[in-house]
Amino acid sequence: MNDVVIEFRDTASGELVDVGTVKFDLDMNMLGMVMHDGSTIQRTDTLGRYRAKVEPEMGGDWMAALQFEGPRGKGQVSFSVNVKL
Amino acid sequence: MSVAVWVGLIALAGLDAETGVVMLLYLDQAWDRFRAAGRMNSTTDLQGAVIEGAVQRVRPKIMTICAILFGLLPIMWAPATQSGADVMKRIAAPMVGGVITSGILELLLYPVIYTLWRRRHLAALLAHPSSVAAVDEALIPVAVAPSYSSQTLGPEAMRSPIAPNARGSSKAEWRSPSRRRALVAVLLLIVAVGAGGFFAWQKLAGTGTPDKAVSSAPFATQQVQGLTVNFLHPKASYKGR
Repeated sequence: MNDVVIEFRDTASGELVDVGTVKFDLDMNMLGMVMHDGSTIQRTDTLGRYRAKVEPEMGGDWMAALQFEGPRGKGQVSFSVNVKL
Repeated sequence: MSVAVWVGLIALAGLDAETGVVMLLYLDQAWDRFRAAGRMNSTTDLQGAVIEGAVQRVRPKIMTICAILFGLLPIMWAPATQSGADVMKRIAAPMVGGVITSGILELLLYPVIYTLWRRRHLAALLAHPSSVAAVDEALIPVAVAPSYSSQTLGPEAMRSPIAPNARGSSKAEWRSPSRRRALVAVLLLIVAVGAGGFFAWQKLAGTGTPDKAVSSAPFATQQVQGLTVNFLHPKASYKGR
């Protein structure tokens, strides 16, 4: 189990901002199947900073998908991340 | 658990089933030998038969355990960044721990379970010796190989249906200091191998590898809707607090 901290900052001011509900998933695309690893998101004591508990089952390239919905609207972003176990 | 761990567990189950069946075969053969020789007259005789059968499996089983450990431990020592090491370690880890548990189960627990199970047969054998004797003739093969004890005692002693001297000799044989020392040595070896395997597993298959990647900088940064999203390891993010 790995704890990943996700923090949201206003690009202009650099201040931490609350974005409401956050969802973070990892997917690995392989031939004929997709390996999925959902995470549990917890708020930390600091506003705008979240902790995600992820457990990738194997090393390699995973697609990370982040979604949020709250005071700053609704947004999503996805990117590739290389996991080394 | 990952798929690789399940693969390791299935391989371990196959290995344990195979060696467990061989242990059962040896115990059954010892039981048959004692019955054919007319030496199965009490619980002590049953214990003697089980010990005689189980002891023959001590060396082969320990050799099997050692061969598997020597084969798998290099995989556990492989660098985490080596190609395929993350999968192979997950296959090997349950086998390293499980083969030690398998040895303890097979050498210590299976004979006890067999003794408890055979006690019921022994009670029936002693209660109705005539009816069971007829069944014996059909079940027990004529050319049963003589046991170690029967070879020692000779054919004259084995002709007696009760053979009290044979039983006394067998008990004395297993209670001799050299045998007991050997048994204690084997038990200590099993415990030592088990403890060594456990500590090696804790050290080599632990979760220490991901922590090596800790850094104070975010490992990923994304821009979305005027926000900068940073992804950090918790230790790195809380280092300055």
